[in-house]
Amino acid sequence: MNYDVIVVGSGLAGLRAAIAAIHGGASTAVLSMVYAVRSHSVAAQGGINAALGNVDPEDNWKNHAFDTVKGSDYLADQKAVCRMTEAAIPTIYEMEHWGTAFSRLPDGRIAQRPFGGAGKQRTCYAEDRTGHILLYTLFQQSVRNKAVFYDEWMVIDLVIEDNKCVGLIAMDMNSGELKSFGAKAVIFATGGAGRVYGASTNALICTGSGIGVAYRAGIPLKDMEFVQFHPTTLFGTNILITEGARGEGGYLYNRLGERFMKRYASEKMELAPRDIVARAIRTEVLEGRGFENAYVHLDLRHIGEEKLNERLPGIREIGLKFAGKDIVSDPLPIQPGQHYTMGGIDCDIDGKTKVDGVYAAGECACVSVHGANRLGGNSLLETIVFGKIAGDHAADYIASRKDAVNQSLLKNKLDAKEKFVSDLQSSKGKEKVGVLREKLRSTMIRNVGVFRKLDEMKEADKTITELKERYTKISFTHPSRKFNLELLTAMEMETMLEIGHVITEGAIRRTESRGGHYRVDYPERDDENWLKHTICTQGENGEPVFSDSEVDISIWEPKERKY
Amino acid sequence: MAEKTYEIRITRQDPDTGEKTKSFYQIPVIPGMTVLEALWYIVDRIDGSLSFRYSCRGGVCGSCSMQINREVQLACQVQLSMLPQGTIIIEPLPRLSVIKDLVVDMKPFMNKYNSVQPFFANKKLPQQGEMVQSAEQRTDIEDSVKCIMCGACYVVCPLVYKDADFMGPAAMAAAQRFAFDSRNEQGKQRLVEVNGLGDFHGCLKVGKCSHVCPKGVDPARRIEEIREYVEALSKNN
Ligand SMILES: Cc1cc2nc3c(=O)[nH]c(=O)nc-3n(C[C@H](O)[C@H](O)[C@H](O)COP(=O)(O)OP(=O)(O)OC[C@H]3O[C@@H](n4cnc5c(N)ncnc54)[C@H](O)[C@@H]3O)c2cc1C
Ligand code: SF4
Ligand code: FES
Repeated sequence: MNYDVIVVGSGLAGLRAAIAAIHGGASTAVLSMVYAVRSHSVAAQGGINAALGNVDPEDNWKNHAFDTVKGSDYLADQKAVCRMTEAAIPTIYEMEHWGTAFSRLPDGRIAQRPFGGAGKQRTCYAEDRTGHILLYTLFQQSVRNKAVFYDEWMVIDLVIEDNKCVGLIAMDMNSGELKSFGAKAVIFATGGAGRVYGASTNALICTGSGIGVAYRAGIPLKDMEFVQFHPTTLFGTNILITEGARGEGGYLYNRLGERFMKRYASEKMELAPRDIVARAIRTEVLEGRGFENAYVHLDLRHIGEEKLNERLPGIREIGLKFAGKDIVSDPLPIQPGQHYTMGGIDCDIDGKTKVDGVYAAGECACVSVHGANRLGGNSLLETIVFGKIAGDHAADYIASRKDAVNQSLLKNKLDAKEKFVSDLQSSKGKEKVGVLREKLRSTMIRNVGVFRKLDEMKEADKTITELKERYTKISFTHPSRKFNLELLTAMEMETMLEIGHVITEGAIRRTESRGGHYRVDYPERDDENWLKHTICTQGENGEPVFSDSEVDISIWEPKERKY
Repeated sequence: MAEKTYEIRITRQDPDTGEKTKSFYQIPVIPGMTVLEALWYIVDRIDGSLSFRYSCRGGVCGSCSMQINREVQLACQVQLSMLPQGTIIIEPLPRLSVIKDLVVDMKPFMNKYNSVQPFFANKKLPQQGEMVQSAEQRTDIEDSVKCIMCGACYVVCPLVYKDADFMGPAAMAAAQRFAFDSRNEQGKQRLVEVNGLGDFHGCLKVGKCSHVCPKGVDPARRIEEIREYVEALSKNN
């Protein structure tokens, strides 16, 4: 099959990119591992930022931009941030015009709630189901625009010739067959890599397999060591308890009944940015003031049943179904968990990567608008704003590109991948891929987590090298290719090991603390040496090779970050 | 030492031969373990040939609906410890063709959802800002927008069983949503034109859909709302 533009991924970024490409006149297909409405975007809870000024008339997009830059610990590219926060306002209106059922103010305008790290009340929301309501809107608009979907297809290889996009190879998960697709433009919108970690809030499908496809094809990754740990995930399952819960007035208590945030951010308290609150909770637990040496309490009881039902019904349901706690009468046991991949496929402000015709948007991309720490409510915004930008640019690009895609190259790549998969399936070792995956996850969360120590990270690096070796000895229960979870996991695992490696070595290399990356041995930010992006490409023997690139600080001068 | 375990029986189907079999697995007792986690435990440690769908593991994506002890539920929301003692019986959703094991063909369900033209296509838009909607107007769509397309209502609806063309509860709840959204220009008009209305009369009011819905969409009530509207309309004419 041939299309002008292929979008990989059907979350918010992918659907918005597809709609833009279709509007731009490109024949467009969307390939995704899951039906669009199953994408991880559906799980987003708290909201999406835009300086509409509905609650706080003083607000404007420049305030939003500054909060974002400060929140990023000055690692975000400032012009990119301005582009996003300025576009935020028309973006929300467009979504609303397409039917998004936002929560409303008494006068019928879109409601906005306070969120961490924001100077004004600017987070638009739909109860605590914001991602669901946005994703359905874009899915519905895709139906309206007659988008072509290949649901339950896993993309496994990108085909490039002379630094130009030729197409890709994908597996139909239902039949197990591989197929090649010709496309002059490919947009990666494959989401984050949270499941490289244990204790993650992410959907089980967020393994970073799309990021890995780009990386193996020679496209650099950026800032992968910056991983966000969300302060409030449910103890045990690590299901997210939205920041909106603190936005609506929730308190954090330790075992001694102290509102301990006063020690860490006396002004913003519970609404300090995520990295700060996550470290505060970990410190409380490490210093013996947590419950069962593992968690603290998020208390919402004083907010009252009526408001909780109105603003946080999904959180009430999660508490009841997954922890047996009713937020109306019980505090929730919470602990930090892996939450967001700040780094990703290196791309510019238009979503373009180093390869002509290859774009990235959404959580899999690193523009960078989040720098070292993403503010809550900015990620949903990024997906829609940059999804559209990437789709627009891809449509322009194919209009200007006249050559035909090289079909014989596609065929060769398809044959090579076919052989790769059958070799993988016929390998006769003793290792079980599920066991290796658990080992990787527990290593990453323990050794490359909220607090990072050199010896622990080195140990993780060694473990990953060992796991890569063990991975060559995996075997399978079953030779079939049809919806074979063991095989799919094995293919994802190849990438997860690469990404784990890039994160770990990037974290070892960066000898400073900034945003989500906190080095116990280097507790200060070091602008002199480290105000720069980490770039990583895959070396000849599969090893990560690092270099740096400049951060755009053309608007605000870096300052100490205090809350 | 005898370890305490759960026994799980899963109905399997071979995609090549169509042959149905039952597999039995013993799962150790792990506090809080959900059915979905138990299925992963099986794939990772016991039998990698088992197939099922999954994504969010938090009851919001609609991937993992299946029959657990003969009830249609989301596997990620059911903890093993909540189930009655004895062998836990897991089967695919009924009435849809099986692709493999617990993975069924959702396309008929999805296509019906898409067939109600579930989208806004307003021509007149405000020059500036949002379309205003009062909190009260929003309550008209509050429940129908909660649908996660898990298909539970569809597979238990007796009418879907009898009439393959019957749209089913979720698609009708979506139709209700677009008809009753105060901001939608075509609103109720489109309901009359596009959806032919026949299906709303067809509903037998059995109410099984509302009973199984994990998200409180209450499709039976949504269908009733459409019926009330249509009846009022014909009285006025
Ligand atoms: C629990 C939770 C709550 C959140 N709440 C908020 C919030 O309130 N506000 C906010 O701003 N952000 C929030 N976030 C972050 C935000 O939801 C995500 O960053 C965002 O939804 C990512 O969207 P996306 O389109 O980039 O990717 P996703 O929605 O993750 O979609 C990725 C898509 O790529 C596909 N895919 C992946 N790999 C492949 C492959 N190899 N082949 C084919 N397809 C592939 C998947 O099938 C999927 O369709 C939250 C995140 C979590 C975990
Ligand atoms: S109406 Fe309820 S049961 Fe039916 S598909 Fe939607 S969420 Fe599932
Ligand atoms: S896995 Fe998403 S609803 Fe169960």
